[in-house]
Amino acid sequence: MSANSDNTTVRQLSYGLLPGGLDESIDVQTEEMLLNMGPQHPSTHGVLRIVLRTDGELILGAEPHIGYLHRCKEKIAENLNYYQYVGYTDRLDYLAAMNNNHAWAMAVEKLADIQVPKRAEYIRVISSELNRIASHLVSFGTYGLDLGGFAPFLYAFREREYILDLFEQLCGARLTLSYINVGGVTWDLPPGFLQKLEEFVDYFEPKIAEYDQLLTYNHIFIKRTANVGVISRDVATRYAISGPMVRGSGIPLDLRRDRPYSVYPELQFDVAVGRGAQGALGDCWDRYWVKMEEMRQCCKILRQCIKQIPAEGPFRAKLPRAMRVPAGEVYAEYENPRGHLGFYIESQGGTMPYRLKIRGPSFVNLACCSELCRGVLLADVPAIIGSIDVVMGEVDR
Amino acid sequence: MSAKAYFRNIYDTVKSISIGMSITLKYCFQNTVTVQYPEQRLALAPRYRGIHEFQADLCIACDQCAKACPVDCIYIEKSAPRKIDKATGKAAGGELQRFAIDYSKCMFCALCTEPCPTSCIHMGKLHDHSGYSRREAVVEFTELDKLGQRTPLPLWMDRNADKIPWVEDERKRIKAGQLATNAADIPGR
Repeated sequence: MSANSDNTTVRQLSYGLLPGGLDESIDVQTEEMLLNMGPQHPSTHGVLRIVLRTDGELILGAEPHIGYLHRCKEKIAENLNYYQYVGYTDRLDYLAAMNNNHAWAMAVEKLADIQVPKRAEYIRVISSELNRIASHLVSFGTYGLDLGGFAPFLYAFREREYILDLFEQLCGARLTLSYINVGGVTWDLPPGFLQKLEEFVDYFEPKIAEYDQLLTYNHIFIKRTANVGVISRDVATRYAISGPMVRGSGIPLDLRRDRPYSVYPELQFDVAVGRGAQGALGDCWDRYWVKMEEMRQCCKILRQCIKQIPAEGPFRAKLPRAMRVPAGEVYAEYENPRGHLGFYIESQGGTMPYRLKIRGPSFVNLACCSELCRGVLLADVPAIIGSIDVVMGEVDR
Repeated sequence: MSAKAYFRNIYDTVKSISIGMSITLKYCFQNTVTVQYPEQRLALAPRYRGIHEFQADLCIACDQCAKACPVDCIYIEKSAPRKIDKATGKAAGGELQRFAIDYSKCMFCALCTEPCPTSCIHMGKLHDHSGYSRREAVVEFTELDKLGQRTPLPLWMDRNADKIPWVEDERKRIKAGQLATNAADIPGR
């Protein structure tokens, strides 16, 4: 840890662990250790591999290594038409498939200048917000799991199951939904769906108080997360962090409010912002709390949608089967449960994109991992990684 | 850490754990919700997207589904163009030589069911197709049609039909060429 004194020998050691033949200059006297966390590790949320440089319990540096789940999603898009790619967007952020479908549909509609019927927009917002709750539930449940609390995970998955059942009635699938497609949604709401949705919201809202008792205000949990992994305003802006992570640092950045799309201008909701209630502003607890608060706001949005949705009307715009879009470039941003999801499409006319670039929120958020993990204790690393809340399907694409 | 803070920590920890345990205890006395599959099973949603059901006598082999498929897992071969015969309501013309779906590729997106002009393919209720080799993941629907089936019968269902009542019903229905999916289950476009 300390700077090399004159009598210690510094050797160039090659562990072959860092890409590009980067050798580490390691002080053999203080016995630093390179520790591979992942790719198969219970608390790294998928196939994330982090190379930790440790000195005893202290982390000197952490470097995320990604690419274990790379499936050439962007390249695949160049050979598929705009409808067909929806199935692939499901598998980007597989915990929030509906949000990805919505973002993709919005990007193509912006490119081809398609008007979406009002009812379709409401159905989209309903399903996206439901999936936002489901995604936050997994995030909160697995975060408890990372820190040694097993019970909240089971509670979170019980409610998530309810949402997945609703999705099954809506579109027949539970995880890879492919429901929202270009021009609207694939099928209309099934009969009695809005009533079931209202029952769900009535059932779910009191459960959030239960989670608070189980985990949020648990003393051990607070001790593990408060003042750990603090993201300052400066770091947040430098790394272009988005979603609950940036809101946890006290920056009220939410595309649903700042650059409203779909029917969000007609809906009233508050942007949850971290306040540093248990420690420093922007610590792991704040990021966690923002997600819990967002679930409450989702319920609020869902209630408004149930009231405001037009009872009748088309659920999909009339579009030709072989849709040709004009040449041009378009970038559509979307507030995913994890942050700003962007689709940049370059089209040269025809039925397929010429090039697609996906701005994945998990990928961008993960970048600050090495900054956050520097100088913390080993046991804090799962807490920090868990609060970043990455989905590797989206990081690697 | 002062002695006061030390004991305060212990008090807070014990308190928050007991709050958590009281919630757990509350659920301890409720009925279990676990379902013992396969003896019991949960109802599937009407729109459930499982392994396809295919009606060969309605298929005009127009290749629309194969074109809509993002992963190219539908294989269609025909001897000559087919079209719906107005008198019988069935497809006539050339022979449908092959209609196969590779379930090792299929991602159950239901995009194939959308363009079908005769509504001969839709998503069924079965979700547990199995086989001993990858070859068996390719379901030849035209071969099944010769047996009078519209959807493949899972191996376990065939072998355990006499043990579990609902499996026997399902097996009978599939063998008789009935649809596991009712007309009301197929969502409107």
